[in-house]
Amino acid sequence: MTRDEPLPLIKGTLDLLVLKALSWGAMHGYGIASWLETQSGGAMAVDDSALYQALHRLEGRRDVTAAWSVTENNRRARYYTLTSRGVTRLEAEAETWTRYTRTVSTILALEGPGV
Amino acid sequence: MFDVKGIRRLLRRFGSGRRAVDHELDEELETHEAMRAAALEQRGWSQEEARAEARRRLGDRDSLYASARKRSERVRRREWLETVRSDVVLAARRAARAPGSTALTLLTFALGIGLTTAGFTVVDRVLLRPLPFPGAEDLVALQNVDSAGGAFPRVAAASWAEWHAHGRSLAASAIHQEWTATVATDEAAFRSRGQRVTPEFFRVFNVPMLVGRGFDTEDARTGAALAVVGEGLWRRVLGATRDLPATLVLDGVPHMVLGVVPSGLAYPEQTEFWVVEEADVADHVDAHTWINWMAVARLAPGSTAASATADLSGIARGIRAANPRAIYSYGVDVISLRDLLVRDAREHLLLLAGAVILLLALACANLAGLNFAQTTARTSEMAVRTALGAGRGRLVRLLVTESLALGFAGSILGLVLAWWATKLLAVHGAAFIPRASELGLDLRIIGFAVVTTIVAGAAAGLAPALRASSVSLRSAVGTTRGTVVGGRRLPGAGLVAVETALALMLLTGGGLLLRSFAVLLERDLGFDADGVLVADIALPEASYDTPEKQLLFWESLQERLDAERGFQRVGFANWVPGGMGGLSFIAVQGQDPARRDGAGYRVISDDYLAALGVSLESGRGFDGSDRFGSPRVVLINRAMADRFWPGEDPRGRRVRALSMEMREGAPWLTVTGVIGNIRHFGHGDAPEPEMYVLYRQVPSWAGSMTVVVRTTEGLDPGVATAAVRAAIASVDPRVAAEIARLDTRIGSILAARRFVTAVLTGFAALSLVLAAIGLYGLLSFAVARRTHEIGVRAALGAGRAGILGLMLGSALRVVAVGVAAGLLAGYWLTRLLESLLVDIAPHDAIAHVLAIVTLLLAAVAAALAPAWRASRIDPLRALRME
Repeated sequence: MTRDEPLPLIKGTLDLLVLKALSWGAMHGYGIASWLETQSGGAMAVDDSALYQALHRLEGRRDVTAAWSVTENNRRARYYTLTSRGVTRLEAEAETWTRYTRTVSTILALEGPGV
Repeated sequence: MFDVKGIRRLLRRFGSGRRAVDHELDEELETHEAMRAAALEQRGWSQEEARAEARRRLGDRDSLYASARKRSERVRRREWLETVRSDVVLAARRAARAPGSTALTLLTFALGIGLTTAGFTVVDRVLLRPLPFPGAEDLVALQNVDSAGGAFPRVAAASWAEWHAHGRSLAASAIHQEWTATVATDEAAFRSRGQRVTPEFFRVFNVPMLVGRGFDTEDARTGAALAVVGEGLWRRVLGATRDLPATLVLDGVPHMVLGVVPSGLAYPEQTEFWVVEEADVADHVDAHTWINWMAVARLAPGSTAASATADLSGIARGIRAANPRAIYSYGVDVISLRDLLVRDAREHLLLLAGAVILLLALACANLAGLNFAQTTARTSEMAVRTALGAGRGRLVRLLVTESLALGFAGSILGLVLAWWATKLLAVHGAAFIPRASELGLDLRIIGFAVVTTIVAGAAAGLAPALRASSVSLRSAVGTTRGTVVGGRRLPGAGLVAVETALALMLLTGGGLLLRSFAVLLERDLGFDADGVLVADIALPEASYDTPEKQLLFWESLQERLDAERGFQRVGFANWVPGGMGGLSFIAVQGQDPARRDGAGYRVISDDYLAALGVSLESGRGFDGSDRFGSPRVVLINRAMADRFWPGEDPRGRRVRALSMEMREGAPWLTVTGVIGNIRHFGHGDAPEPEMYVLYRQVPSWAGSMTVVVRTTEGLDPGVATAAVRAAIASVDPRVAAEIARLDTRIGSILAARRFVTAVLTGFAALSLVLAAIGLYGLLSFAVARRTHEIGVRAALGAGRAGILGLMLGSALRVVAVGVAAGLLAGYWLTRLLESLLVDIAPHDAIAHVLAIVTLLLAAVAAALAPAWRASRIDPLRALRME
């Protein structure tokens, strides 16, 4: 795997990333996608279809709500906002994720006999 | 003007809810695609490539539609729950703000639901449920049919034996007869209710024995004394032993106990033991007329009550063809055992069920009335909500939710009430409700209460809600200024009229039953039950095996009791008032011997009538000159004298007791005196011809007697009972007695009637209160709404009396309509009461007039306060207020 190829998304992390994106403020779907691409320095390609399914899931769970509004370019777009539930979830899952990755990294960093 | 958007929204919601979601998603993705393409173009993609790439990245549209639909489904469901919750919160807030009307509503619901549920429980458990035996739908009772087509619950053993032997429609059948025996243990002796049964008895009921077994055919043939006991007696006397057969001493005879019947499965109810006996099929010319057994059976597979009736009636007609004196053998009536058991209670229970339904209807009308007044008062609130964008459906839902929320809160109270009422009935209702012990609440009943609550709550909330929600903003604002609203358009007036009508029906019914009960209690019983104790005694057969020994016991006991200072008179008889009775075929000297006349037959002691407070009308009573072997004498009652010797002096005339004295050869008895009629079975009993013979002259009856003790005035019944018990023990400690007050026994005969009367009267009182509340609410509301109009009237010179009259008049107009409707409906309904009324016609004027007067008085009382308030309205303030 070279540095130039986009990172594949690990299952379940998209929800977390969407919540993180929305913690910066209300965004429409494309806004979220481009924010994630920008913030990852282009390292992460967001599958648009998966993004909308994640948004539907989050809205159904009441982690986000949506309302129609107008973009700077006068386009009608559906804007998503974090609910208080969503904020709580983001905090909890970010914490879990951090602990998880730290643990996995620690294990992988061990000097094994075979490697 | 057409609201195009609104129509489209409606179409989407009802026609194709899903497509709306899809449209929304399309619009969202369109924006997304455009923005993505624009970004790609900026990075140097061609317009076409950028578009294609953007579309590609969005992937398969259908899976997105699916996830969007799922989302909108979840969101919509949650929104619905949230509005319901907010409605309930609103309802609770409103309820808290108006505690008075809330309490009234809750109470009305609680009473309505509670009484309806209790009523349904009784009807369900007693009338609808099968008996608690396996395969209970096949259980039947067999009854004799006489020449007039009337069914007799009692049958002759000889007749039953032929049905049993030749009938093809029965899988099993048995006869049984009550036998109250003395149970003797090491510590004490007491009387216990039992049954003599033929061997197939427990096979008929398929009773699963708790321990041991039931009887089988061989058991009766051996002639051994065998018994089966109920669980209660088993625990109390046999120490719940599993080591059967055990021994139980009944009337001095040791019986082998083979099995134990679980409690709740005793038949007849409250039986404590059963002994087996072979049917006594005497080869006697009158054997088919000795009807002193009850017959039960289980239908064979494929048979019905009707086919069994046809089958057995054929056999019965055969019996009569062979024996013309078999006068009860015109047929056999096979009826469901459950129907037979609940037959007497059925009428009462259906009446109560009807009353309960009327009361529920009244409660609903009252609730709707309360809601009407309130929602009309909330017209401006509704208008404001509409103006703020609440749809009509939302308003109706708000109001119905309010009604339902109160309804459910109230019906929880109601269930508590129902639970309490059924417990009370289960404990105290056994005397007049068959199967009372089976009463109790269960899921079915609670389900019934929930459904009733929903129906009642929706009914009470919906009509006012529809009305209130249709008010437009303009008209709502309009009503408060400058308009004068007349009395004719009182909302809810129709409901109050309905309430009045229902209340009148219940009042009339209650009044009729009360009047009938009062008339009944005024009837002369023919004896004086006050201060009289009765003691039922059966002598143990083992130690009293000859009439001489038996007579000696009674005479010793008489002597002992006569010596007791607190006792005025002491006598005894085989059957006393409030207990059993027996009929005998009789032959009257000088009258057609082919006539099969009958008369009550009772065996008494010399002082029995004096102890009961019955005096001779003419002739002489029994005395020492009437001995065993001396010429037989008999006393007769007034009804017998009038029937057989109308207008003559019956003294010296002669009569034979054919069936009752068959063992004595039915000798001629000479009438020595006439006594007044005695209503042996309480106030409802109609006097029939009766004869009384002296116990010394028919010693075969001396095995069991009931002693009657008239105590001196003021003697404590407890002390007297102890004295009687001590006297019996001093003669023979092995003899048990069941001692009771005669007035209690007579009173308990009226228990069912008293219960129905009390309940219906209570319902009537309740309905009166509900109707009064309804009227009060209606009028208070009307006065509040007409303040302006009344102010104008007062300003124009109307006096206080005039205004008072005006308000009372408008109340009475509503009530008058209700009374007229109630009288019309009641004309048919009171007819249903006819069979329960004694000496009172269902259209009894006094009861009707009393009901109407009571209702009018209540109406005036309810209307007075609001009317008075109206008459005190200050015209200046009323006009300024607007």
